Amino acid sequence: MSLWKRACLYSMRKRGKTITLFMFLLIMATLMLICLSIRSAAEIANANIKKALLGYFTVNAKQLDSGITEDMLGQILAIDGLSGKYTLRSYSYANYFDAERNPLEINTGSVTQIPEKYANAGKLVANSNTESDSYFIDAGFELTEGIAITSEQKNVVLLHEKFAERNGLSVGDRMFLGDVSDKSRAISVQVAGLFTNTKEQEAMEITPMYDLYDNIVFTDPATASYLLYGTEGETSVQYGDFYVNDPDNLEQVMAQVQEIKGVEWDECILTRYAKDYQNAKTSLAGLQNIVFIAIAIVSIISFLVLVLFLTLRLRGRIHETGIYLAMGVSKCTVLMQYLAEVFLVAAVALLMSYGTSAAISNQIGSTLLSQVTTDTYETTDLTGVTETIKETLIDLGLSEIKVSVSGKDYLAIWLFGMALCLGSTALAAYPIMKMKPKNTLSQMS
Amino acid sequence: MNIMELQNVQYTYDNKKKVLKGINAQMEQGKMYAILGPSGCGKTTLLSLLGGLDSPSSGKILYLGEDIAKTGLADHRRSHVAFIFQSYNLIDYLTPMENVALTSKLPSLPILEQLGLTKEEARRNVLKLSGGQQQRVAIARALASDAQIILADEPTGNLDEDTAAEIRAILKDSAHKSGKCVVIVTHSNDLAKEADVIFRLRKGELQASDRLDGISLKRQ
Repeated sequence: MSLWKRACLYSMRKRGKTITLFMFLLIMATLMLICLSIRSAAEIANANIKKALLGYFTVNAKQLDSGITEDMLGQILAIDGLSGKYTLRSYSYANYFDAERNPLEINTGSVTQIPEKYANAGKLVANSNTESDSYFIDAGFELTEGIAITSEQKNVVLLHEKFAERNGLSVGDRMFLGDVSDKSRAISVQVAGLFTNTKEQEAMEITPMYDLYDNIVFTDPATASYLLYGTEGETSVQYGDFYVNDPDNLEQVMAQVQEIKGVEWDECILTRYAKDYQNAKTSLAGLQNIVFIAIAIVSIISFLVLVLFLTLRLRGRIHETGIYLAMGVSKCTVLMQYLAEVFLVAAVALLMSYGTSAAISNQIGSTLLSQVTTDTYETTDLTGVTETIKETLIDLGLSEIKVSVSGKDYLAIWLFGMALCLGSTALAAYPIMKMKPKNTLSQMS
Repeated sequence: MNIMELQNVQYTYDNKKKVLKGINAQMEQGKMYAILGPSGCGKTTLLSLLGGLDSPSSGKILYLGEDIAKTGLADHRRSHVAFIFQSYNLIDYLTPMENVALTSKLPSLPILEQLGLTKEEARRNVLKLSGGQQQRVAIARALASDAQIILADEPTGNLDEDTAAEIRAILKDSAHKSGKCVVIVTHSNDLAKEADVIFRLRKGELQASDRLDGISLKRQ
């Protein structure tokens, strides 16, 4: 009779012992798979967060006479580690004129005394992509007509609906922007779009009239560059936001930027913005640590319990071992039979653990991940504006993460489970296999 | 021809007690041997040495002229000897048929039926059989193997008189009809009387005898 047949008969006829071992192995495999699944999901979440919460740094070159020039921009963009995504910004004030150079009417609010030169002036915001400007992202500005401004466009503006209505302007009309300090410097621009604000401006009473939402005009960097620096054919900006591929390398990239020669870096301010990612990463790292510890604890406890269980089981089989040895069955074959019995039960338990762990891990994992990402969101808000958790999860791509049992994890648990069974059976059987056949015989007698 | 031969076999326990002191004996095929002696004199140890369950401290045990220590004890147990124990020692999760199948590739039902078990009993769990039936299964397992030597340790010790008599007859037939060499360790005079040769083990020494308490042994 082959050892496999003996192993099968033992497993079938010693049902109590088989079921006990099966339940233990099933629980162990399920726990391990849950831990591995959560760990894998956390890794995916980490990668998603890296993509969603791109780290970036801002170069504030407002103090430089020429700002961020095209040459300087080219050198920065040539540095390894930058994603290629960047935003150029400038902030200044401009006088607004119609096509005939007549002053346009601004919202003066509750101001009684209007500063000289600012009677028809407002804040001029230049952005290489107005869609990503903080006014549109965080302050609730919305484009209602026309198109957003990008760096491809030149001499265009976006006006507030109220400002346009007040002055009878519409998309396609032309107007002039003039430098508030140098009246001779003016530039003709075309209205590319209209916007409105969906949120009320805070502290309107104390806000200078030129900073009122109604009076803000968005333009392209080239136009702002002409008004700020008097450049023609070349664009300089005050601020540049540069996004990196890996937020973990942000410091390194910033250090490389500051090594660019020919720039008075003492006059520039570089600010890093990776708190979102770092907070998210810390939260996920916490979860991953917990999962790692859980895996270690489950592994150690599983091994110890399995060794104890098998030791007790094999101790009760010294009698049987002696009989086999007396029949000339080698110790190796007897050990192989005991291993085969454990492997048979382990194989069934591991097969079933896929279903149990898949059912449980999605529930537990989703709860854990959402908890972590909720914490992340609450600590990483840049603007201080509270948004709903659901929206943030969608933004980060975390709501789509399914905590499921992957083939890789399942294979790992098979290898681990079988290695655990092999190790614990060998350890449990060692004292018996070490005995002389005669001693085994006397034990059984 | 001698199937087994013991040459100056000595055995010392781990506590240094010398239990066998230079034993010399020969055993032939087709004969039944009984080993008698007081408790603790080393009878079972001698049986273990013959069966390759242990090695002598010194001396040689030869099977058909070859030292079993050199040919391998596990191989000796597997190929040359079969054990019958007082406590039957059946595998408790197997049926009688499966227990017999452990040592033989031949169909096990005929031999079990030959030894008095019904088909239904042969398929029952061994623990649900009586002591006598279990011992018959153990004997069937020994007889079904190819082993030429049957080593029995108190094979009738746990059985009633009628069953013991049947077992005695089976063992005797195994030696005289099947040509096996049957070596029995026993306290039973009834069983010893059936033996062709009686060995008495006293103070570590083995003496062959053809008489038992004044009764002449039967010879085939």
